[in-house]
Amino acid sequence: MLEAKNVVKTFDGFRALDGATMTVPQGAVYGLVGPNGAGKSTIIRHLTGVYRPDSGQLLLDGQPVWENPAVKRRMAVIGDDWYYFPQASIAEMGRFYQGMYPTFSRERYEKMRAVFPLNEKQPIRRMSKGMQKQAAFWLTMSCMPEVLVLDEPVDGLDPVMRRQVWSLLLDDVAARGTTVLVSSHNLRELEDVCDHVGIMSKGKVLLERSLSELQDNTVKLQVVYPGAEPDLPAELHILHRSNVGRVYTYIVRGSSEEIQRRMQITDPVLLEAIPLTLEEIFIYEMGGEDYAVRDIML
Amino acid sequence: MRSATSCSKTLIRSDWRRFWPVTFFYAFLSFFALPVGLWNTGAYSYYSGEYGTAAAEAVARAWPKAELAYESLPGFAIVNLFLGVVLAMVLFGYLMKPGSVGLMHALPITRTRQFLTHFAAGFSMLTAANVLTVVLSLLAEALLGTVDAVPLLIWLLCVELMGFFFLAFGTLCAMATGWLLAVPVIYFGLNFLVMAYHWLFAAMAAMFMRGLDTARFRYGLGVEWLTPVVNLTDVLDPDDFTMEAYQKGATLFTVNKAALPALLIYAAVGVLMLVLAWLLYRARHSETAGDAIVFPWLRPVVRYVIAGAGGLGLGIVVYQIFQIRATRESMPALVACQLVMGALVYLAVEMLLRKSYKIFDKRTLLGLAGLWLALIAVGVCIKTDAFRVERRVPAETQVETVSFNVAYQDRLETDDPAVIRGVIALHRALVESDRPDEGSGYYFNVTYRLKNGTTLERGYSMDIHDPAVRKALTELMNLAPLRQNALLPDYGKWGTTFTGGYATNMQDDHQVILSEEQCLALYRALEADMENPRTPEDLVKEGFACQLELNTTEGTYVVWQLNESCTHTLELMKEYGIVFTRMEDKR
Repeated sequence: MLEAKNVVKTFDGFRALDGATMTVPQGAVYGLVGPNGAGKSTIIRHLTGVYRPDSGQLLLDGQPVWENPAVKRRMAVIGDDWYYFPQASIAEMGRFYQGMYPTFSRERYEKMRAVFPLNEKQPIRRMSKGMQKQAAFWLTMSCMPEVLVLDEPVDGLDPVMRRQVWSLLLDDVAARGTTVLVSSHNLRELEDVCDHVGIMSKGKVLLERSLSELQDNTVKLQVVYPGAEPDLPAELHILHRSNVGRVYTYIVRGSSEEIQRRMQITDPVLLEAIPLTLEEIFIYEMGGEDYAVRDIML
Repeated sequence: MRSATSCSKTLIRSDWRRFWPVTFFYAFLSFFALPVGLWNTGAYSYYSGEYGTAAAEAVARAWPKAELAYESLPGFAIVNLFLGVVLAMVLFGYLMKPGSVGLMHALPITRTRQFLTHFAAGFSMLTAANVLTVVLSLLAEALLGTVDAVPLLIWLLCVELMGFFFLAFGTLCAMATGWLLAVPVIYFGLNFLVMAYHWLFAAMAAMFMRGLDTARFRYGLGVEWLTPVVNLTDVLDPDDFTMEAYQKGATLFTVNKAALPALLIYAAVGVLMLVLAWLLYRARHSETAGDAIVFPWLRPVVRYVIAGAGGLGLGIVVYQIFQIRATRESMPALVACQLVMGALVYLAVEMLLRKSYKIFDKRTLLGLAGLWLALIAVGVCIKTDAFRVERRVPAETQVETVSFNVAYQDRLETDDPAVIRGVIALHRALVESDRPDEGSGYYFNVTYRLKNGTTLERGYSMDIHDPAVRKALTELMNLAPLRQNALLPDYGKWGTTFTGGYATNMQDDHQVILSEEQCLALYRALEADMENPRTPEDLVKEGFACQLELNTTEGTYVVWQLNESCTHTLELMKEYGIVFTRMEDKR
């Protein structure tokens, strides 16, 4: 289990992490989402032992990550700016990773050759951004980590390779119980692969749940009334309201059955509950954080 | 389980694989300096067959090799100065980029182990090049028939110690910054900081203090030690060696005696620097990659040191270029220039440190006010001679020897207490004189070698109409050693059994041959002239352009010039029919 407990980090007076707390369960694929500048990359760098927090704890199975090689040997990371030695090829970086990670599997490295159509002798700097990302996956997954931390991992990959990479990751999760923490803005993609989601904003983790819990806990209702919109039950926690003619759309927090039961008293002509996508949940949750799409005429 | 302080073989291999060109280049330079040099020296064997005995011949053959090894050391101090910073930049360059620092610090290896591994990799690189140089040098010697390993092993020890020091120095500088190009700036800045400040203060003192100019400012012991490459090139410069001196009992050509102690001290300082660098490495934050100075507490120091040096130096440049002074040096004008230039440098440094042009706030203005106060304080201290530099006259008990010249007389160096007393009296009279120093032609240059190992050097243009100066000068120039020095600088050195001599008119090269008797008579006449009382005016009296050479069995007395005060000598020369033309008035 990978944990951040009440982590605070300040850069030149700016509080990048403001008591961030999150827990990535063992074997989970945890999607970390949030607006730009929310602190996702910062907390990932803390969780991988690159940054030292001003206060708070970063733990893997109860052991601190900071300056703890025994813990870091179990983790591998692909950062948003994955780095390789300037003249190095994949083969050379492979030898470097092999020397650093005792779990590095030469057998897996050889198998991955078939997955990634790359010339392992070519300097990585001569490769395209997408090819460099493939190289990062090739090397990192060859380390056979227990915990894989990915920051914007599939940026630059073509759709086929994206699917290929996710497939490899999910196979690893299924076969070896690998824990994956992934930060991305591509919520549609995360929705397909994640089983847990954490939403960050302004240096804090606003909420973290399993995806099913999250989807069960927020409902999109489409309602048609015979006349004007009646007063809605006061106990409903409505996140968003809009209408087109007599069709009203409500985003309501709570269980679908309970909300539909309470809405019956408004005597609707039509009442339909539609499951929310992760993107919609993100948008409506962030709306409460004063981070919503604004209607601005230019 | 691997220790936290052991080196990582993978990292060392990685460093070697990536940075071997640095080692190769250094080895390439060393190859030409030593193995090739030794091959050439041995191949020519130009010292053999001249010294008779087998032992002397062996020394004569060994000497050029030892000479080559030891004399190359000052050059290697300079090479290692550069090598230290280049290695530090390549080894710790990963700290300067967010991506690379992210990779390296996410690895399962502690920061301490990373630090030690990178340093060890760097040291192994320079050691490998040095060892290779020694091996190739021995091979060159072996091919030429004689192997003399001792000078090469001493050379190895010296370059290893200095290499360690400069690498530790470079590493320490790399720990302070998150900007790769700032590493050499900080490194060379620190290497020459003390000397640069010393020179700036000396330049200002020379403008406003009598008796001083920049050439007369000798670097104190502290300044040299705090400028390692200057000190090392000095102490590593071996003493001269000649076979003649060796045959008279001198030590065989060897490394300067001061070199090894100095290198050991610098190596010990290197260890301290390494410890400090390690503490800074542990304390620095990965996110500071890209910052000019990564520790906030260090930023004011950098700001003031650079702005101070920039203000003082550029202020002097502007003052000189635009000839801001009118007829005399003006401290207010100089300080004004320094305040303007200091402010410009301060603001530039502030922009670099903050990575922003928006720096004009209360903090900046307060800092700038502090800098201005410091610059004004420097000007006031120099103008008022707050540290008694201008007024400093050593006590007689402090002086070991004195070396001086008055007007156009030959320089005299002596430990004669009477002369030292006379020189000090004249020096004191000059310091206390309120007459301006305006190039009278009566120059007085003096260098005291003090008993504490330092030297004090001053130079004045005297006003001989100042009663106190005139009195002290008259007393000094009438002391026997000075009277002798004025006429016969080697008086008493060569004996009085003459074999002949020449008198040459320097204006037309007309030469007269002197007999033994004439030489002796002239020598006695010169002795008599030494007893003539002298006045300050004699110092610049028109002279006769004559050169007298009086040969003895042991050496030659040479008199370059006579003047009207040499009455006995001139009269005797007239008797011999030797007439000289007058020289132009030297003034």
